[in-house]
Amino acid sequence: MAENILEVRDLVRTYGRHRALDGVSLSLEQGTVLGLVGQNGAGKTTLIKHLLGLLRAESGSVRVFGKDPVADPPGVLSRIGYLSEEGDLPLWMKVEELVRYSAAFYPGWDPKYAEKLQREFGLSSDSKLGSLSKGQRARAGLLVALAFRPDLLLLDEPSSGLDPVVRRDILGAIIRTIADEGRTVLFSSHLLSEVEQVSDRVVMVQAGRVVLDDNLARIKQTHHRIDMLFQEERPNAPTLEGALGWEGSGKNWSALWCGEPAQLEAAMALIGGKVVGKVGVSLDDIFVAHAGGAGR
Amino acid sequence: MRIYISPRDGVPIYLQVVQQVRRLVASGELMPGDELPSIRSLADQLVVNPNTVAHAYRELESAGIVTTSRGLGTYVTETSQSTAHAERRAVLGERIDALVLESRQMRIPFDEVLEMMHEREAAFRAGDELTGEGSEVICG
Amino acid sequence: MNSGVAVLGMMLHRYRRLYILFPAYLAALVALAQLPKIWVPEPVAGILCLPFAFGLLATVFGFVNVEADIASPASACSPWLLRMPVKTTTLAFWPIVAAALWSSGAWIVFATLYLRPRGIVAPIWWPAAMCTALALNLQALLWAPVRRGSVRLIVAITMTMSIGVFGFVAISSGWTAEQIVEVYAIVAAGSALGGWYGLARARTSPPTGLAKGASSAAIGEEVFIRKPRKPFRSPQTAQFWLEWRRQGRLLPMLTGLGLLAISLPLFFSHDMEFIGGPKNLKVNIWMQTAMPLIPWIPLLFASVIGLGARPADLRGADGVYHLYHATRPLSASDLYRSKILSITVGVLVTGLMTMLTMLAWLWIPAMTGDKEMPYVRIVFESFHWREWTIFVGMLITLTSWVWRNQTVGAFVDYIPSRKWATAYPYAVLITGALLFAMLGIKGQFLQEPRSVPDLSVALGFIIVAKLGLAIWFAVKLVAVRASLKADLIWAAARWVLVAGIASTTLGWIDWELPAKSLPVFFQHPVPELLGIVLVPLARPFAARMALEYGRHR
Repeated sequence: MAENILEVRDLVRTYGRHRALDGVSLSLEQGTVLGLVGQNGAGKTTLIKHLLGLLRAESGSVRVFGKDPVADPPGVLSRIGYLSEEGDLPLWMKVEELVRYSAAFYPGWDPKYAEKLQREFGLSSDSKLGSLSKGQRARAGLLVALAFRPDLLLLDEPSSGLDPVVRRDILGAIIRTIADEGRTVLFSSHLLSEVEQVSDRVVMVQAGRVVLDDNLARIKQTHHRIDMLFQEERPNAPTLEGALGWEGSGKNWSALWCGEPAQLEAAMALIGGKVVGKVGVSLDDIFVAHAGGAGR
Repeated sequence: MRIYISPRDGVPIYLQVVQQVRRLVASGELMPGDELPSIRSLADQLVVNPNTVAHAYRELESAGIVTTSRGLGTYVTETSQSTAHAERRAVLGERIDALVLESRQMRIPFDEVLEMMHEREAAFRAGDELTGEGSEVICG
Repeated sequence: MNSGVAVLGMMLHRYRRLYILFPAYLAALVALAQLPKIWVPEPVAGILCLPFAFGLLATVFGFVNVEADIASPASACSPWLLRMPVKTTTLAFWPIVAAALWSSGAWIVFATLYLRPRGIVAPIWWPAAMCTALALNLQALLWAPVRRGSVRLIVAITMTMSIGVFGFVAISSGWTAEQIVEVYAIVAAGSALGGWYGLARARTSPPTGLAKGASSAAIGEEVFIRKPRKPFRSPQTAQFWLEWRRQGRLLPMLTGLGLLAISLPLFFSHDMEFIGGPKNLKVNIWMQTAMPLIPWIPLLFASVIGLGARPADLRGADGVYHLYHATRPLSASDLYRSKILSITVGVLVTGLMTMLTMLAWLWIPAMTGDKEMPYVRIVFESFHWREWTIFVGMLITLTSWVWRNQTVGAFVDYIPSRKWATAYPYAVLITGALLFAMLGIKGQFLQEPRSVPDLSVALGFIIVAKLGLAIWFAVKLVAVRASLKADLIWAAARWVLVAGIASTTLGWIDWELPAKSLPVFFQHPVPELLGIVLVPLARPFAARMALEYGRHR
């Protein structure tokens, strides 16, 4: 019985009067890909910084590999392959220097694999990181995050501002990581199509709270766009439990509905309407609907 | 084997894979005994989570389209053919539904539609006789 | 003309507080000068002069409209200003003229309306010209985009110092004020042209981020992969390498340049000077003049580096230590140790370089009577073992001082808050200037024997404050991470040892050397207390705490 890779319980973080994280709980099993989504400022990066030990838990607990990342930085960080949004790599280093330097910290470093990745990514040994394009720098960061086959691959908005070719490399890296036995990936992204492609689970964060935390398959199963026909004209949007975002007028209304498909008919009957159309929705639409519904 | 998935579609990815494999079997591109790509290589090719591919293969197996033997791979079953016929009928059925709906919206009576279908079919037959081809080409 | 004035107005508007504060300060000084002298005692009057230099420098930076780091390759002029729809000449002309008038005007007001009424007859014109040259030179250096930012940093420091020093050296060498003003005028004119050219280049060169010759392997191009070097033995070794590349080798490199610069005249000037003495000694003039300066070169650079004025910004907006460096799989102690080790190795290398240079200089021939032989032989013959020990003791003291300055500056790297990290160098400069003012202006104080007990008390207070701060840091650290306890106890023990040695050494110098060759205040217990004060304790502890806080907010 493998213990969870990640165990976050009731994490709270305040910056002045602003609650960046408001009682967030999360757990991640070995061998899953977790996609963390949310608007800018929703708390994704703050959560990830807690996992790295860069932020102390104000209240609640954070355990990575069963350890507290603040109490034991080397123990935790030596098993995490981290790629940050900004890159942050020292720009004066050459690629070969970066590889040599990084190799010293990770016991599981595989020099052959590192060389293979370097060749695949097209990174010349003596180019300075500062003279590389943004995409190449991202690849360099990905190289040193992958080469030691980390137990946890942690990516914070890895694709932001990058061209599709690099994004494909990153996604491919995620797939390869998960396909190898027993490794786990957590990545946060705005590109929901990517999240849909590779995630097993999706966690959506809104204003410091978790609004959605489920398997991707179940999320797709339980979210549909419903077209409804009512017997009387409705001047305002009808109320239906689980409906996020109404559109329409008169007798025809449509909404994005979240819930068990079996319960839909009964719920509709209660408010005097009939379902005339039901389609699946993309993660993008689900995200927008939940984000828009936060005000309620 | 060409499979295309679209993440923006409302349809879950595993379901898209299932549907496309079924179509390929129905159209004859995949014959009984053909091997499907391994989970890992298909995941790499499509850039999707291997678990998704595994889920799709499980669905196909429970539907009897493919069979997986440990260590040997995933193969298209013999019985897939019978389901293939039902599959083909289902696809055609969808087209017919769309045709019926549209003719209703355009207020063209059903009898007229049938007449048009006969006319079109006759034109096809004439074309076939000219080129010497039979209608067997279309079915698998 | 309107557009140029408008551009100038935009520049000044950004720093409007500064441009209001500085003249207000000058006005206050002028008003103060009208008061009777007894109302404003000399030390106070002296201390009041300090903001002049800082204020002038700050307002000059305003005329440059600094947006980027001094050590970055991009032009320091803000990009939006460069994009203004005005001709480059207009863009350059008005800030240059304004800077020239402002800096010279500030000095003239300061000298005529503050110093003169207080009885200090300071020269007016050549310092005004010096200020103008400084201002315009800074503009020129900061406006031009360069290929390597570090070159700009070095040139800026060198040029600023040279311009500043030239006037004083020239005056004491007998130059007339007019000649000095001429030289400065030439420098200013050249800088103005350079500034205009720099702006023109900044406007037409590609934006930052696209370095010249940016390389990225084109698709299909052969990727060059070199056989990897031997891997590092341990994470700590790798971290040491990083710290060495980032900072440790900076001091040896700068010192090397400085030593080279100061040795250059030796190749050109072979003039000897008669210094008399029992052996009718004649030595190389430059060697005679410049030799005592050599040990100060590493000290100067160490102090500047120790101020923590580092090009890279090492912290994020929320105070978290730089993301890459904070996520290294190393404990905070290891991180800190690697830094200190790289500094130590750097200092030792520097010390060795300096000593070897001095030795090389001593090989220059000197003449006794008619015989020519390397100066070092004469030195050897006339030095007793006592002088040798004193010499060695001074070398050790100097090296330790260099190490100290660098080490206390190391903690600036770790300070979590950006504001504090930027403020620290100014705080140090101001404190140093204050001390300098107190010692200089009221120089008589230190010449009196009664300064000894006063100084002892002051030093005693400093020691108590030092120990108190260190204990406070240590307690907080242990509360946050109990495993550091052993580390801190060892660090404290090392401090006791080193402070003891420093204290004893200084005390011994006081004991051994004749009273005449030492300053009046340098009597027991002042040297001993000084030894304890000089060895860093509070700041290394603060560094550990800063690192701990920066890494785990």
